[in-house]
Amino acid sequence: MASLMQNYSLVLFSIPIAIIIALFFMLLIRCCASTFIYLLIFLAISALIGFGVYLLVSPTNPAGSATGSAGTIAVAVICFVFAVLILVLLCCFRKRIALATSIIKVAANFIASHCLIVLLPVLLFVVTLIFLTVWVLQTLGFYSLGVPYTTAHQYPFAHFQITAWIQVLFAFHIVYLLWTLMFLIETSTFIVGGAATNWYYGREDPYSEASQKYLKKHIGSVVFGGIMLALLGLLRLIYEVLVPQQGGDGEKSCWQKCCNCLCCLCNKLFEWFTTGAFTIINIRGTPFCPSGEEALSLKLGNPGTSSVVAVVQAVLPCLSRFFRCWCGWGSPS
Amino acid sequence: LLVRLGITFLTMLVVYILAKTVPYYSNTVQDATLIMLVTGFAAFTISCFFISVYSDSIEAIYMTYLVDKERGDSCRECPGELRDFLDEVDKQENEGTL
Repeated sequence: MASLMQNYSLVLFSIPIAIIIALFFMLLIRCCASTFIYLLIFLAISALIGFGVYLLVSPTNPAGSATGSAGTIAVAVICFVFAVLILVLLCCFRKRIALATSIIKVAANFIASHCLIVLLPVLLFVVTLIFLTVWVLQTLGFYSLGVPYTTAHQYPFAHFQITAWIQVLFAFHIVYLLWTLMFLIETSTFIVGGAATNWYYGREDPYSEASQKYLKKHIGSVVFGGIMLALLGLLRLIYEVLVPQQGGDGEKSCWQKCCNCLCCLCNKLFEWFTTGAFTIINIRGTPFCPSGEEALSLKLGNPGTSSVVAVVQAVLPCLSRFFRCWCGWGSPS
Repeated sequence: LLVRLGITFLTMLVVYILAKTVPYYSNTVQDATLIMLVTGFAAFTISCFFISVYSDSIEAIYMTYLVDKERGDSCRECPGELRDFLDEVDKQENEGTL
């Protein structure tokens, strides 16, 4: 610890070094975007074919889901069909894949030319940490509103009886926590998206314009998006508390898996809806719901390119997931 | 994950080299384990921020392109690289119709 305190400048040096290396990676992605996408497709096809061959060659079924050789052969055939399907899609959507590659390159170009925009999530992260500290202090304050009591052999600090109205207060306090966290995450998404949109249209100072637009006109939309995501998170939280995640035999039952999958799907769809809505709001200035609808219809109208872009985004790990896991509310995926 | 880990490990490597080669640090750093851990965490967090911003930018640029395309003027205002691609597509389509 003493060594760390004495050489704290070395740790501080690591921040600009990491930023420079990240910029180098952006440049690499910009240069090799098409290679990256085709590599992903090649890996997917190889994995499917490899798994199919393994199922056929292996004497026992490794997954243990299908019984007997008929089930194994069926799963292997499905793998081969999927591999062929991806190959066919690759041939049909070649132009759309190229378009997605161009968009990925353009985004890397934007980040490389406006690398300071990365400081926005860093700033919001610090704000989140401060908020969490205040939230914990507030929670302790609410706990102390209870009626003090003493029992034999208790810990050497004050104990309070939590009444019903304090429990209600705690429930609202949790909603407040989720809402604020989602609001901070969505603020980052909105401003970064706005800056990218402004840059796309060749504005002089994309980041400042996006920030001003956010503060003057669209903060309400972000608050609304935040509460929708918070409510979705709250529903999932209630589901996880009320429904035991492990069955009697220690494994999840089929309907629990289905419910988890449904939760994951809802969350992804709503994230998709919100992010698209923010971009449309930045372009047109329309309200949240009509903007989300327009974004969804635009994406569904272009399934090929949307799929490739979504796959690349899924492969690229994002902080939002890290952020939520770190803050105690993990993303369903 | 590869990008995140790549950034983290490269940063840790550079900091380790600094700790071993710069005279001030090589004299004062006895055990670099804790420094490496803190550096790794900082680098990992920064890589996450970068990738998050990148992901949001891809989404925004793609949506903007779709809005422009729907409006019918996707080539006019878009950035150079995208314009080059769209020009090439137009050219191919024109050659196909001719």
